[in-house]
Amino acid sequence: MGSGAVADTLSIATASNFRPVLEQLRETFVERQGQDPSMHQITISSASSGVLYAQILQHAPFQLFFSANESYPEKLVASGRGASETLATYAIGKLVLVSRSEGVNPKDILSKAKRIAIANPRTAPYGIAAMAAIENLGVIEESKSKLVIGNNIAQAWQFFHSGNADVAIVADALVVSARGLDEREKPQRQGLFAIDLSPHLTHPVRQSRVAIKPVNSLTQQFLDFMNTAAAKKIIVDGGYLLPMTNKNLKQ
Amino acid sequence: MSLLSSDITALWLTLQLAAVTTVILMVVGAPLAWWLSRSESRFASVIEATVALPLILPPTVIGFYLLMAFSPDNFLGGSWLALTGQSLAFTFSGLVVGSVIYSLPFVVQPLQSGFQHFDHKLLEAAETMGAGTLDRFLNLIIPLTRRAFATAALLGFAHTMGEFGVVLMIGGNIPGETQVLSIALYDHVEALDYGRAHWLAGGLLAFSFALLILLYGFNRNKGLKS
Repeated sequence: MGSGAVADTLSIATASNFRPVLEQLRETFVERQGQDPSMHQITISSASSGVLYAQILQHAPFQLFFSANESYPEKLVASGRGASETLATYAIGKLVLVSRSEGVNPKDILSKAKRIAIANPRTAPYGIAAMAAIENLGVIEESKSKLVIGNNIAQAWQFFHSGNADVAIVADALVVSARGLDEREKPQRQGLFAIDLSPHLTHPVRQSRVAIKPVNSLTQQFLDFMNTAAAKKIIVDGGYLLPMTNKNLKQ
Repeated sequence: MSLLSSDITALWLTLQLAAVTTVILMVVGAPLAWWLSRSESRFASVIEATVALPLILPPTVIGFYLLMAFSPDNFLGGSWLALTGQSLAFTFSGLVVGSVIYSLPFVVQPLQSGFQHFDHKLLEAAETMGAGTLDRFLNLIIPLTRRAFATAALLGFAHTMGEFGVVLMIGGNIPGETQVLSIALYDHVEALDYGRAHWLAGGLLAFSFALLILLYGFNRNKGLKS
């Protein structure tokens, strides 16, 4: 890597939940590339997966797509826009229930909540997962009127973080990332409680990625980097699990 | 594909929001515009600039500050919660607060301009004839500046109907509470439901155009007469 410094650019579209981790991945990748410390050659755009999927269908100039589900990248491959050899599950997300009051029973927390912030289930896989968890917990009827819908999961998390919603169901990665920020900027803002909702989900949130054709060399380098132990550590530290068996993610 | 009940709900909600906002703005805006049209104090230009700010500020600036202010951790949000038991974010009341700020210049500026052309000798004459303040306002100022009032009301209403960025940040997309037409439209587009998006977009386009034709037609006719 590095010696073949070409004028490639890499525009990455990512589901909002993965953005904090992707920024770290980019930083490490650029450091490893060595000769060109400028990060301008790699840009990151985040939104809900459904929105990005629609944009890519409309020929938005992205080279790489990190979705929060498996189906959007699969559909892109099926439609011929995605490069099938780059399709892979890169992370398994953790869905968490966050609140400011200590409690261990997610059902109780949801029942007592005034406002429950979730991502839009129409476009965000984490919104669908959140709805499924609420349903499986058996509190869907009483929760419906309390739902506050974020445009994507980052907005749902922000609704909670700004104090406007007392409960949110989001990706653990956002909580992990914000904890780091809070410790630096607002050390007093503690008392945040996150409960793993994975046991209440029928399907784990498996997140896939795909490169959009044609795949340039910078994109391929970034994908190779994703297979390194360093990249995997960043993903795990960021609040995700790695898929157990996946040929594309082997060491 | 056709309009579903959630779109009808959004339409009704948007009309309610625009109506409530317009009424509040006319009540608050009229005295403010009157004062601005008469005042010679230097302070007036500061107020004038404040009123005009929503014209040039990105809605995200207003949305961000409102969201911060609405948080129960802060004074406004905390007081409102204590008074009503509800938070301001994600509620109809919160949208009204946002819309009043957002549409303020669209009401105040036409009124102010109307008042500036008002002949104040008429008021003095009425006063010498014993007309009280309310009497003079209702029977002299309003009839003689009715074009300005109509323009202000129509623009305030139409601008609130088209509000988007502020609502996106403070609304939370709740059907029947904060999911106004522009948000419902955005939602349909993002979910690739272009059929329903077309209904809402086309409807808003036709409505806004009709409203402006009404406004300009009204002003043109009256303009020729007076």
